[in-house]
Amino acid sequence: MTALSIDAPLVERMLVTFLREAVGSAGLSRAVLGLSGGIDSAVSASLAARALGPDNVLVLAMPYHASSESSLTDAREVAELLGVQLDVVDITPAVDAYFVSQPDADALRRGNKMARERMSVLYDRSVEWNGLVVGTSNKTELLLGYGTLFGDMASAINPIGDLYKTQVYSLARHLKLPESVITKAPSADLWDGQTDEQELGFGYDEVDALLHDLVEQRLDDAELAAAGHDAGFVERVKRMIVGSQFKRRMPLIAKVGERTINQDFRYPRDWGA
Amino acid sequence: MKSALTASLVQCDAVLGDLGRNLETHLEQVATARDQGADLAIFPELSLTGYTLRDLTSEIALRADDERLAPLYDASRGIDVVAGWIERSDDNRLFNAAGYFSEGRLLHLHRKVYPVNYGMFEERRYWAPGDRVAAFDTRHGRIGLLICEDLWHPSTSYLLFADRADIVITISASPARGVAPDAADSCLARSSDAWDLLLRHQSLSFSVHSIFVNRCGVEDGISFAGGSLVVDPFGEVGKRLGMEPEQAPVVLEPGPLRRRRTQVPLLRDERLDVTLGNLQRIVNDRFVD
Repeated sequence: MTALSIDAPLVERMLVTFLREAVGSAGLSRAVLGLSGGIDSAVSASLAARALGPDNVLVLAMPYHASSESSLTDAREVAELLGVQLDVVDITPAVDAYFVSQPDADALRRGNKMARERMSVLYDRSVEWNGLVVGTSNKTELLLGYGTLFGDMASAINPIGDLYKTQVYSLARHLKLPESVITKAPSADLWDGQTDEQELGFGYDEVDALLHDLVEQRLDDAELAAAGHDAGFVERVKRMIVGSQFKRRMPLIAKVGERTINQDFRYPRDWGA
Repeated sequence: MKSALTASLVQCDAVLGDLGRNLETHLEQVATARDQGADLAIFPELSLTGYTLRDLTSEIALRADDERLAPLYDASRGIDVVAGWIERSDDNRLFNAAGYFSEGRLLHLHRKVYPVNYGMFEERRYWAPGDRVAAFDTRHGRIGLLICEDLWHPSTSYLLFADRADIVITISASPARGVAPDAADSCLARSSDAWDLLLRHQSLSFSVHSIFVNRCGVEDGISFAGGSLVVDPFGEVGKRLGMEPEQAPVVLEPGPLRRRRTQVPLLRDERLDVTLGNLQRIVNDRFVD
């Protein structure tokens, strides 16, 4: 057992109740989410299916032509396992049409555009489906800012945003998701052969151990060093957290009035639920 | 304690900011408590209003004598009721209040003495702190009321002990936090372990029956931890609920109180004058220039 070990049955119950109540608070009974073929969205989908019933969950696979073929295969397997409806929406025409006028756009811009195209499709289909968009960003990504603002980070409710990536793995095993989804290298799947750990330059095990000590345990630099975390790595991760703070907050509103939204106009999200 | 007391622990959810719907549910649950043969129905902290109110606090606040609470007063005939709401005082301060309703009257009002203002909590932003901790007589025995964080300050339990409470009731809206697998009870979050320890400590140190009634359900992404609990004066857990909604009757007997206070007469031997003298000295040392 490590510091990141979880009581998976307890977490499942908490998150299933959360999804049921949060969807209910919005006056709805259905959910829609993107299924990438990766572990995070598979876990979110599995929780949603358990909370709302498989008939009330719509999953969308939204490949771009450069996406790996195995992603779609894995997404199909997860959808079949959960018994939820899977629609495949090819985002290639929409994305390529835009970049006709932006031929010099680099991989980052293209990746962000794909993530936001998927968000746009999810929110459009959520109206037709009459369901809430369920998020699939984990706590590691959210803290590091490793995601696209208003893209894959956009959702109405997120069941796994307080679980580190390594904890998502534990939950995935408990939820009995397909082995291929659990064992493959995590990837944003923006180009062939891309993996998160190669792009980030460190492993999830390593960064989760640090984030746990830094965020949950509030260790200071000396204590982090004593716990075996490399000082350079600590510095780099701290910079990533601080640098991505804007991605974790609502847009900043300039205050000029007596009562400003989110400053001194503070109501619960579940207002009137 | 005069006689055995059957308490119905109402571990329930609330509709945030909807007094009318919560009141309706309360009346149904009081009826269920009657069916259970209970003498007392105990609801969690802010049971009538919900917890995460933020700016709704001032909009939902009611004076204790507000007409809208009349159905609850009426329901307390033949069965006592403990329930929580945002209380507006005569001078327009807002308190997190717990009322003990009996025979159509408010027998006792407790205002949370320690609103929490750290970590995920921002209670002092909205609520004034209460300043009175007092036990009161009921037909079943002498009872003390606390709200959530009050219990984390041993002074409140001590004061109720000094005031000769037989039973201390703590109502709470405590969130579930921590999901490490080293559970004393695998149905509950780690934050519930601390409540277990605090309540057993309260029972043992102050020779009282301890009753803890906590919220369940979800508000704004926060899951309430449930885990309502009763502990006898020997520190033995009599009943522990899970995280789900449940309404459970428990019987508290005068026998364990008598036996424990004979075996270990802490109340008899407690020297209030020594406590008071030393507290006065400490206050003088700490706060006088």
